Amino acid sequence: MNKVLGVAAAMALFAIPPAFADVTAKDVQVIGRSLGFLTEKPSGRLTVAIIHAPAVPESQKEAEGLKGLLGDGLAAGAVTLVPALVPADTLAGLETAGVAFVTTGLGPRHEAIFEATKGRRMLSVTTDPTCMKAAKCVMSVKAEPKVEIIVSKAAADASQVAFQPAFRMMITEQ
Amino acid sequence: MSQILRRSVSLAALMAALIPAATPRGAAAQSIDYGSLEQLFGEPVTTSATGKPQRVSEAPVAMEIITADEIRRTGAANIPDVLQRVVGADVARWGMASADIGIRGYNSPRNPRLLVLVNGRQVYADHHGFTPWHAIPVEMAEIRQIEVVKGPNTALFGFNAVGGVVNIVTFNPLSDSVNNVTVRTGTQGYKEVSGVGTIKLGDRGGIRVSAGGYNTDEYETPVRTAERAYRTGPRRRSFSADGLVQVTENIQIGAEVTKVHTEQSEMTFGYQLFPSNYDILSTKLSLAANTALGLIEAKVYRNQLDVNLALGIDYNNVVTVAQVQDLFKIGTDHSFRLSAEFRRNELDSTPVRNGKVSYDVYSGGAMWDWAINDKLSLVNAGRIDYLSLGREGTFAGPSPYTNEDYDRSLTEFSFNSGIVYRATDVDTLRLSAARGIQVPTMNELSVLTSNGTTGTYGNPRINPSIVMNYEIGYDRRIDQINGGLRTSVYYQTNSDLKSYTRRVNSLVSIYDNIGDSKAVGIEAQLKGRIGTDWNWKVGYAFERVNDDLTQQTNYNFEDSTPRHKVSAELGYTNGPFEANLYGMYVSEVEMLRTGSTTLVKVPDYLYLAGRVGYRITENVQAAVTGFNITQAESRLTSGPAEEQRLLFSLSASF
Repeated sequence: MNKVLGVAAAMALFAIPPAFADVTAKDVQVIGRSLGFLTEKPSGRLTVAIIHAPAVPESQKEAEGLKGLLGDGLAAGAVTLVPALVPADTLAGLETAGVAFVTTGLGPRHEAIFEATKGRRMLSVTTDPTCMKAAKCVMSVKAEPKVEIIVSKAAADASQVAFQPAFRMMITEQ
Repeated sequence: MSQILRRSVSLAALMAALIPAATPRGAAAQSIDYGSLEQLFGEPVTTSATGKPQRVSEAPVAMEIITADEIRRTGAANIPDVLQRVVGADVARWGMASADIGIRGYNSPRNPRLLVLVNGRQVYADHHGFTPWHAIPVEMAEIRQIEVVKGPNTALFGFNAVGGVVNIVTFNPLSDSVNNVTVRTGTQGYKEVSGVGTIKLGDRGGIRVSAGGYNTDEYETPVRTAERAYRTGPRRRSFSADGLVQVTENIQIGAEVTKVHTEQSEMTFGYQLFPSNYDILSTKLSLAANTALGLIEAKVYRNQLDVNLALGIDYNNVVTVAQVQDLFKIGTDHSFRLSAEFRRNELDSTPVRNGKVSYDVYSGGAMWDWAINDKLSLVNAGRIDYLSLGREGTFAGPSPYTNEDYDRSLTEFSFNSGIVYRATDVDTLRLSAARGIQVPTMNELSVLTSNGTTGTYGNPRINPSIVMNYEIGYDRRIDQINGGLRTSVYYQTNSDLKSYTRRVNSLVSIYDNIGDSKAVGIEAQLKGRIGTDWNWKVGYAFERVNDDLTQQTNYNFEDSTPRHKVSAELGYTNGPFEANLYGMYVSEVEMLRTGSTTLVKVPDYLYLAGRVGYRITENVQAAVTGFNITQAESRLTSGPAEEQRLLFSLSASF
């Protein structure tokens, strides 16, 4: 019974967003190539912390989908992205990652996640625009039908994450 | 060429010396990394619209970008054959090497209205105010993209960007590795060898070196009797070295040297063929730095041009340019570009020396791009140019002017303003207005020709031409065809056009302003893809020109600008095979010819070009390309009829 209640509580906690789409291989390429326009540009193998909540179906599905896309390492731009599943409730393992991917449906956990990523001066990326609009994720991406990259300047500043001037002029900042 | 080789060795040594000994790290500073940005956004990126990097689909001006792959698929061995496919372009090919290109009408021999640059360095020749396309020191395989901006853009590029701008962007020697050898042979005895190589200096430096040349016969179609002796088989020899070094995480330094020699007969502005030999040397240094103040870019370059014509006319023109700009963003919605430029232009008198005309130009400009909201953005760019003219030395012959008449200055303001409204995810509306300045050429200002008794003289009092352009554009992305529609409607006024015409007395005639002209036009292009194998494009351009020229002149734009142009292109790829077919219908015109009084009727025509390529191995491709493939010869201009041309090419990339 406690288990059922726990699941129910988790379900209530992680409200389903109005718009949801699985992360695609093209989204991953956009994320990877965007890293090349950071002022402190990473290179080589870079661990992606896939922050997810197993109790939230869309989060879990997106996490598994992204983990599958990255496999043992996916080259995108100058980096090879390597997946690491990080539970949203504990954020255990976040410290070893170079970039955080915030899966869809983690609204109530956005604040805690952002506290953790900005404390590590870490770029947080999502395909869930609500996280970026709430200034709890630095960047949201959408590859189809046309590449759209939106950066929350407040979140970027708070995370001490900066992009190159040319890149900033080609994206939307909020 | 040994001098050039020495310069290249020096360039390599300079590059090597600049490479830091520190452990290599990922380079953070890029001037504009076209390749990475194109891969990220999935479409070509340009800085030619406003000065800031933009996706071509979001540029607030009418423009086209022709990518390296599209260039290769045309099979063209020269840039005019590529630009012929741009909707709204007129290409007048006067011979195997001589061609003039107009954007939005007003084409003429030695067309002064189209500013052409390679990586931002002008290859437009200031002495006569035109672009000698044959003398652009670029091999086709090293071109990343050709950006064509339609309409005035003086506020960004400076004088002479009035009909349009063509910016040829080459591959980046630091981030791209291009190695290619191409040989071409064909009809008219055409023989060409072209090579491009990239030398990497660790992971922080690179030099791209290119060299090429051709020998060919000239057309054999009839010319005027007086021109027969002037007809010569064109030759070209070209060399270029372009280096870039990542000095620190945030600073790049570049150096470039080019040298080109060409020989050909050209159509001159009196609609007469003349032989000409070109020797052009250019040197350039550039700097790009990511700073707290934004992306700062600076460059200094010098073009030294030596052109020998018949009758002992020998132009020595030196242009020195220093430019600096800062691109930065304030807040989330406001992008800015601040720029300053100094330009010195010098021309020795010819054919009798001892005179020199020069001017200095001091310029300042600003661009402000305001993203008002998700749907609406406003772009404003303005520029002020102050030109100070002078002359020293003696005059040859009975000049109506003294050196004191050349003590003159001009201050000109230009602007580009545009509103972009993204009505939906797929519909975009553009409204724009622009003021462009076409400065008098060195020739129009200074001595042209004199045999000691009679002469045609430049005029220090001649005024710049002013071009105003008002435009509405509508673009729609159409996912059903994997492509989209791009349209423009424009109205253009041209004030104080210039020409040589006015006879001061029986011995002297001078250049002068000759009146005004206005035009209205429509451009539309629809393109798409079918599956992965087929791509297609159709275009239509309408233009109606109304001249109000006050004096007898060697210009007649309203009769020589085609009213209708319809084009279609179809491309197919399947495994190792590639095919491309291009067709163009152009309506009837009348063009001047020899002596500025004779109008020659050029009937409407259908022009076809095509290419078939086969990839022999992963890296080697053979192709046959035909131009004007349905007829042995066609009258496309008032000049010599254009012959059918066939090219066979073998190209290896490694």
